[in-house]
Parts: sequence; structure tokens; C-alpha cells
Amino acid sequence: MLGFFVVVLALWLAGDAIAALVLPIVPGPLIGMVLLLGAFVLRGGVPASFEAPAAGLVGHLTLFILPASLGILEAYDRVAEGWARYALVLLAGSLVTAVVTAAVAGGLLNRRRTPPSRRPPSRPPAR
Amino acid sequence: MSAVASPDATVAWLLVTAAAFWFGTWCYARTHQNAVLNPMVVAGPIVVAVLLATRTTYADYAASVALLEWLTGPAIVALAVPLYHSLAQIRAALAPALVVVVAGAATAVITGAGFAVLAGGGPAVVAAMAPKSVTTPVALAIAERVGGVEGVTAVFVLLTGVVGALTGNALCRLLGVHDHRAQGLVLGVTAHVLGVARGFSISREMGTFAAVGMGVSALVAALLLPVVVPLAS
Repeated sequence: MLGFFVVVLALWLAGDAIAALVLPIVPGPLIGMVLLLGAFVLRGGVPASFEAPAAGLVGHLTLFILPASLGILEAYDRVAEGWARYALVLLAGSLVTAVVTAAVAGGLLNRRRTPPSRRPPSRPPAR
Repeated sequence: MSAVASPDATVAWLLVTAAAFWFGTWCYARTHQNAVLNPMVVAGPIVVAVLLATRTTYADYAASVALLEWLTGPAIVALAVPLYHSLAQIRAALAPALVVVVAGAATAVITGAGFAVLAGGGPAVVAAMAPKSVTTPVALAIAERVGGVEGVTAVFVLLTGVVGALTGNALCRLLGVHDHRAQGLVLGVTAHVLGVARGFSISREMGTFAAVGMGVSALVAALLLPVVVPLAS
């Protein structure tokens, strides 16, 4: 448990340092995540003691971002200041983005839901 | 967020937030994970109601529960654990996933900048709007580089995330996309960290692919925006 927090905090700090020096556009924790993933790959596994605290943190992400999400209350004041038009434009843009992404994802990554017996008979690949 | 919170206020607001969220989780479980009753939708209005009833400003509340926001840092680093466990699944779907994310991120940048121009926005508006679908720190850094107003960009990022996280799954089902990997990518691309959180609340697979979508689209946006924004404004 303690080892997990030492490693996570150290990699977060390392991520912030790398961000400040080379990649100012990428957030430090995201770099820390990549570093930790790299460490697991090199080590060939996740230490057993890391599983529970990691699951606890990741499983509560929605709780952690709840206060920031409520910042939408502050946003209301800005929208009232004449940004309403742009807020609507933003919603339209998000909708188009979501539809395009979903359409492409649906085309490329949609697992078949038809039961095996109803699938068309597979043919040997043509060479 | 410059306000300093008293220790009692911190305990009280952490309690209100955690209790509201706990109740939200209970509702979600009782209704067999009905998307309309997801913990955030239930907990958000409860907290807002208490804020209004006690005449607490958002700034004071945010200062009191700063601990929760701080925890997103270690939680993002800890995402490496589920990502490692799903490495085989990610590798198997890597090529199509990258195509999806690049297409989605490019659409986000183009609609962000293009729609801002169509609505009659000047260069500052276009620059504030274009990075909306990437995580806040990324968006702020980009907005700064392309000349956007930081405060306004933060609002746009937040709006996009909340709307994307709440509607993404329903929209996918409407379009006949039921695959958790595909839905995860949509959440990550359109709603950044809020989408990742939403994804993990449904399944590890969806959360993992949302994290991939968030990471890669941030990179794509960082590369595209400095080119697209000057063209549009």
C-alpha cells in the first residue's frame, strides 16, 4: 500500500518534471501513467500489493471529478455574459464529434452480436 | 479557488459530497445500472441543493473539497494498472482504435474552430473553443499557445466533458454501437477524463479504451490545433 503511493507520487512528480522540460502540453499525471505502464511491462507484471489501491483510486474517478464538474455553476455566469451562443455552438460541435467517432468506431470495432449458428458460413480466405 | 477553507468546512463538505455520491452509487446499483441514474447525475444536484440552501459559493465549496480534485492526479497515474491488464486487448484492436481516435479528434478540432467561425466569433473565441475536447491542462496549454482566453477555454472544456460523459453511451446505442471498446473510445475522445471516469463505472474494458482515446486524442489535438486555429481565424 505504502510502496504503491511512493511509486505513484514519484512518477507523478517525474511526469511533471518531464512535462515542464520537454512536453509542456501534456499533463504530468498522464506522463506518469505511461512511465508506470512501461515499468510494469519491463517487470512483466503488476505487484500484487498495487492492485487494491489502484482499483480503489480508478474506481472513484467519478467522485474525484464531481467538484470540478460542478464548476458548471460558475460557467453559467459566463454563459449569461453573452457566451450562450458559443455554448450552443459547442454542444452542436460535441454532438457531431460524438456521432462521427461512434460511426467510425461502430464500423471498425463493433463485435458481432449474432449467435454463431446465424452467422453466414465462413469461406476460406482467397489467396 | 483562492479562498482558504476552514478544517470544519473541509470535513463537512467532504461528508456532503461523499454521502451524496454514496447515495448515487446505491441508486445506480438498485436500478441495475440505469444510465439516467448514474452516481454523478444523482449526487450533483444533491450537492448543489445543499450549496444553495447554505448559501455557499462554488469557490468556497471547491476550496473545501480540494482534496478530491487532488486525488485525480494519483488516480490517473494508477490507470496504468488496468491498462496493463488490458494490454493484450488494446494490442489486438490498436490499429482500428487509432483510426477511430484520429478521426474523432480531427472532427472535434474542426467543428470546434469551424462552428466558432460560423457563429461569428473572432480569433480569441475560435482559439478558446477549438481545444474544448481535450483534458483541461492540455486545453489550457494549447489555448495559451494559439491565443485563447484561458478562463473561457476551461468552461468550454468542462461543458464538453459533462455533456459528452452523460450522453455518449445513449448516443452509441442509438447508432447501434454496443461494443464496450467502441463506446469507450467515444467517451475518451468526446469527454476526456470525465469520459474515462464514466467508462470505468461501466466496465474495465470501456474505461481502458476511454483512457486510450483520451491520451491519443490529446496528442492529435496538440499537433493539429496550432495549424487549424490560424487558418480559421
